[in-house]
Amino acid sequence: MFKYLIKKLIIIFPSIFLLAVLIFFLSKLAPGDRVYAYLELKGTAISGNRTIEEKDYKEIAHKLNLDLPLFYFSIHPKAFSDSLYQIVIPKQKDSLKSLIISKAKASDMLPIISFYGKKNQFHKWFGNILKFDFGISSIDGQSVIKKIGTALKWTFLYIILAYILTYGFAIPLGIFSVYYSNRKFIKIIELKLMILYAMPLFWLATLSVIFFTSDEVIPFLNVFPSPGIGNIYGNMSLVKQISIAIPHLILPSLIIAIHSGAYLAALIKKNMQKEMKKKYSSALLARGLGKKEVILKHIFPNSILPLTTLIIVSLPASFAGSVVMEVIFNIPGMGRLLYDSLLGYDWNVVFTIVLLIGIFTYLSYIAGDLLYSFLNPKIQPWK
Amino acid sequence: MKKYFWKISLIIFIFTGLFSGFIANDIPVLCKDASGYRIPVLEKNKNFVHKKNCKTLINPLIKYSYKSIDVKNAGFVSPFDKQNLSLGQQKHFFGTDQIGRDVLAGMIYGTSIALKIGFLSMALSLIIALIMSVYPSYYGDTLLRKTRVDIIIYFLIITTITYFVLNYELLKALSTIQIIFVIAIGIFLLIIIYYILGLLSALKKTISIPLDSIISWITKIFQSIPGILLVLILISLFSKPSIYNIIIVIGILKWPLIARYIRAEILKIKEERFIESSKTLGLKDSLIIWRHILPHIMTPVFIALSFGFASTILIESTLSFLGIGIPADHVSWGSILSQARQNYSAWWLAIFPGLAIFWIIFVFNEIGNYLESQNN
Repeated sequence: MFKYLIKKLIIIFPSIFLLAVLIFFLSKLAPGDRVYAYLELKGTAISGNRTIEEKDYKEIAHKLNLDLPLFYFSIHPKAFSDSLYQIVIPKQKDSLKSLIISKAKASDMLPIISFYGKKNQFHKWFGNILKFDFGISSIDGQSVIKKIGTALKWTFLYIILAYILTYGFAIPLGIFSVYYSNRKFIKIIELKLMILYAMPLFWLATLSVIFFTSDEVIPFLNVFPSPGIGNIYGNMSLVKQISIAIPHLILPSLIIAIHSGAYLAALIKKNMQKEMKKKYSSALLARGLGKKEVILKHIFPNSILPLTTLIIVSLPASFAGSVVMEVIFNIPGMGRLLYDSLLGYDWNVVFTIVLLIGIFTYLSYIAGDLLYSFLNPKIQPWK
Repeated sequence: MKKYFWKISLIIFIFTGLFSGFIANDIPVLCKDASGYRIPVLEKNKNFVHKKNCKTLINPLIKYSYKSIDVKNAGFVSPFDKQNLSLGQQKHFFGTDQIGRDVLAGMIYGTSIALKIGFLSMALSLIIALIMSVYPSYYGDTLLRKTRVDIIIYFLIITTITYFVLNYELLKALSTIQIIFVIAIGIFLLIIIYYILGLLSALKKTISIPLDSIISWITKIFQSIPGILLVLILISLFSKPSIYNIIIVIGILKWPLIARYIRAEILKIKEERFIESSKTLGLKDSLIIWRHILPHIMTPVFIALSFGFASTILIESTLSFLGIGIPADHVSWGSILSQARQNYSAWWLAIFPGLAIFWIIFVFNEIGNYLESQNN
């Protein structure tokens, strides 16, 4: 088992490196000019009036490491010189490229590998990340890590609330629907909940905001506070901030609980019915144990096993997948931050979030594997 | 009863999607002028038609197009409130939005968008899924045996093609004869490499390629990525927003769903007697796959397609609700619904398009469930 753990831990580092390479090249595909974004932030250029001295452009590109090669090596046709990266102005680069292409011969197609050493953009970017320096946001100039930290606080609070409500709702419902599986009322509840699950989440959320937070359409139904997280100032203590925010977070968590709780309850029910068919449960029933005892003490613990890994594996997805809910309910969490950054072309923030969620997803899969084998000794992946 | 409900829903959806221009438009469907009968909806220059020049014979059902702005009823007019209508003007059955566009007309246009995105992205997914799943799941991990020389040659071919695709700009500079010359030299070199490597006995050994494991691994990676996050980021990487970007991104991300169904079915069919007997008869593998296996995977493909269609519509409406990666003047179910966020008292902007999304997702999921229960 120890060997297996070491193996898993060793493989984490190259995987994260590969993920970083992938995300780095993805970030290079992003539209927009980084130099102009930097200038707009500093207030020296306005988006409509894009005139700037060549010298200044080069200076800032140098400052942002844009005049370095992309990676440790590159494979390129013979026609393109290995120092083409030094030209940073897009127009000049394009005209030079088209000039080279117009004069290319067949022999110029041959590939050439050139090595650049440590002085490249990826090395500097990755080195900064290892030092927890993710750069600054191009919307307000704040450091990315600080922005994500603030957002993470609210997302974390919201997700904890949502998880408690979801599982607090789904597990009893699953048990009830197995216990009373023949009764009519449980079938009606299940059907209603499955219809709720089929409703798009953003529609359910919008409708509940319309009907349950204001009394403009239907009076006396505004039982929940308005979207947002309330009046929170920077100098408040964390406990007070949370105590103000929690009433505002109840409605979104409740919606998540109803929406995904139905699905989870169905899953629990399916697992429990699978266990019910096994011989041990009928043996227990034949010995004269009560149905309630058999279900609660023997079937439920066995059927809950797959659910534990599901919780861990679904965590990163819920960090990212809360975009819609956070946008509708104005929660300043990770999803909202991602949404605003995407709309504002704030690529530093976007790709930092992507990298963090990628690492988180990967780690959660490994953790899920380990936890499953820990909880269920029958499954031993190290053997 | 239930079956008819699905069928009727499907027919209404597809019919409305295909003929959205004829159902809701501000220009007549059929009119008559000096040159004879005309169908203005099909004409390219739609501003050309004026009611004075062309005598209207048939009007569309809804006399508003998704673009037409009714200034007098701007600013969220409810379907039940008194609407400021001039003589002969049609009522806004589902109300209007902030700038006075008719919600019903927008929803009818949104149907065509949903249909287009659903069908095209599912077609793309299906093509990718067939490529990625049929041969690998038929051959499994052991059946495909190749010599090491073959593997090296395949690797060379794939890298060369990738290299030229990445540097396609340079190919433009060369004339056709030069390109043919380059390709000929390439093939010649490959043949020489093949024979030289063939001389080495160590490379002649056949090994099995674990094609199925490789593809399952790729599928697993695709499925572990948080869905909507990747869609959002990939779509915002395109510099110009367009619905074709959405189609491409969804098509690329949804194929594992279809591939999983195809794989499961082929693994089942592979063990059947008729495949065994056609193997012993000496039929080629590709013939067995195309003639005898593909007709059997139609049902699972349809199951996967209907589930995929539902989730595609959900993704599309979520994207247009968030307003990311779609043109600003684009009207779809999600974009109408998103306007309800500007004014929470405008319930009609949330209820009607939401019902349309819910209904279609529900119908496609039910069709998938029905087909799945029939298949088992």
